[in-house]
Amino acid sequence: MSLLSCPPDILFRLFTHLDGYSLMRCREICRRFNELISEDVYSQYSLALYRSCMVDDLDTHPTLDISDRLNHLQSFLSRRSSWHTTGPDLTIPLPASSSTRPLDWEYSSGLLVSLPTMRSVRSIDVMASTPGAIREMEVESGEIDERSDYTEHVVDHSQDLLVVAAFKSLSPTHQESGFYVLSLSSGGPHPEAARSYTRLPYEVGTFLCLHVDVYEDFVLVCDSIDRSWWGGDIYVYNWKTGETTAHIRDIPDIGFIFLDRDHLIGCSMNHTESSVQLRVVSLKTSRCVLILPFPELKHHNPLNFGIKSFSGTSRVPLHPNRRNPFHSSPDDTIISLQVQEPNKWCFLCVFPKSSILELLTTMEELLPRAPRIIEWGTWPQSTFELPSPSPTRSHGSRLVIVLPNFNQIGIFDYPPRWFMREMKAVENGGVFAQPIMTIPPSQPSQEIHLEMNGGDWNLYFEEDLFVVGSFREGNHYVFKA
Amino acid sequence: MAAPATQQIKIRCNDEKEFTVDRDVLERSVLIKNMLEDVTEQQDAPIPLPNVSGPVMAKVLEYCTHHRGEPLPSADTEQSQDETRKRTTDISEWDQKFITVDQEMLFEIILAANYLDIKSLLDVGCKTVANMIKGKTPEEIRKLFNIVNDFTPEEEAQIKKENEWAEDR
Repeated sequence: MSLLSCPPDILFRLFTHLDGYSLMRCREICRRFNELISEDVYSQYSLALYRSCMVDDLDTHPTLDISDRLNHLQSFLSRRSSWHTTGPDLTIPLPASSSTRPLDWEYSSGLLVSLPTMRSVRSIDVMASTPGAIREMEVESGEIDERSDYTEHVVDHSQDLLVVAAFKSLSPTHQESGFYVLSLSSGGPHPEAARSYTRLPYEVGTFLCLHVDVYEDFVLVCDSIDRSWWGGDIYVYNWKTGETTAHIRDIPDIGFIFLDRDHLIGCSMNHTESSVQLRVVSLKTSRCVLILPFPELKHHNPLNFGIKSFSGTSRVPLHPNRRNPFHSSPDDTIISLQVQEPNKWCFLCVFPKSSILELLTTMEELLPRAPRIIEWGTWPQSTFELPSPSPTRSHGSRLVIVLPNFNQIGIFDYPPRWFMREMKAVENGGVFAQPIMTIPPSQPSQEIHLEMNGGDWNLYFEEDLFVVGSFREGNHYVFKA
Repeated sequence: MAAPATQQIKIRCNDEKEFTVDRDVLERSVLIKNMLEDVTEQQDAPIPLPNVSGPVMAKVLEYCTHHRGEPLPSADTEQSQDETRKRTTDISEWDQKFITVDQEMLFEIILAANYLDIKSLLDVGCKTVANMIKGKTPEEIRKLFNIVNDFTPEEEAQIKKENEWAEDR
């Protein structure tokens, strides 16, 4: 009598005692095991759970090692206790000085909003001009604190909404963070907002990274602790009432946007695996409900990553009354963008938002009901190599990737070059064709001079139009592609 | 079925080995319990158990005797056990000692527990095997259970590829 001679029903029973990882190993033992595990519904169920990394619901799905998670949490809590203090709830008086360098900008439905200084908000109606020409519209000074060290902001044109999350240095050792809810048209507090400034619940002494997103009545603000340990808390506020609607603690990565009213989706780095994953977090339970891993993208050292949602299949009417196509369109496509080692690697994941929601629904149904295998292989994703970098410039180069539309990918490179590639990702699983067009920077506008240095750029794209900005120059350039 | 607990039942294994056992001990086996309930008249003929050998039955009876008197899992508790099964590969100290047998006997016990329908014993056996599998590489598992790798290199590569992302977790 041996393991291999056991009848299937006993082996199936044995499999129920194995976690997803062990089941995967068992598939590799021999044909019989592989076949049995492939036909056993319970094993499929376990594998599906494991592959989808439904790990955070440890009570019901203990598919991953709990001790690692606990260690992670422990170290986070011990570090956090050292800087968690409560300080004065105040706004520093606004000094009158200003700098020439725009601190941040955001593009929404033909409106480019920049912050030339912390106190002023400038919006430019890109669509009201011919390509290359810019009509500027100054709005009155906002309430943004001059001494804020870091800002992130988001625009929802349709709601006349500008949300600025700011990180303030109150003293060299004393900092606080919060966000302003402002009116785009007036630059002052938004008339529908309960309050113009909401202080985040605690202060942070080290590097702080703020991420902000807006969806209907909700504002999402996340923070992270430092660069070496991505993680932090996510707060979701109703900006009209000022109430906190969700607080998700200790998310081990950062960079979330709203997927819908009930879910956030984020892009993150899994340091254990050195790979990239997308996470979906439920706002109702504050739990991570889904992790979409990208095993192909292992062992790349990310310099930057993020997630944006773009409108995909349909033409975006560039009308001010339209919802911000980057944040709230129901047809959005989720794009995860990652820049790897300078000029070497980058990748792009294209997700129809509907697919993620569908997947979520499937997974929610899957849990209490009959097991099913989720097919991951059909999801389009791709890795591709970019043109060789200029050997004379080893620093400051960045890659910017945008999706003009579903079928094309644009790559902005240093030395400044603009590549358009036909993207076959959606059709055939992620293969990129040859460049279909290369635009030297001098061609669309003689004025363009992009010193793509240390994040000194920003780029937005909408249909056949793209906007490139340089922080250093304080200029932005509008191109017709 | 209000049979007296002291009632003695005879069973006969496939190697002609016979045991005379207290009824409540034997009723740990759902198979035998059902058989006994079907038979209303007192019978002297031993119950034949063609799938179990004497040495294995001796082990099974050792288990049943130790656990006699414990409530049998009903359909409800079976369900809640399903929920906790994955979480707990813990085996009680006595069971652990009991199940420390050679592989041949281990699988015989599992088969017997399956045939006799003794769920708790079946789980002890399966958990033991699961614990032997956990944390081992496929090669180590093959060696431990004397299994030949019958994959073609292509098949093996394919499965490895499918599993790859879960490595180093």
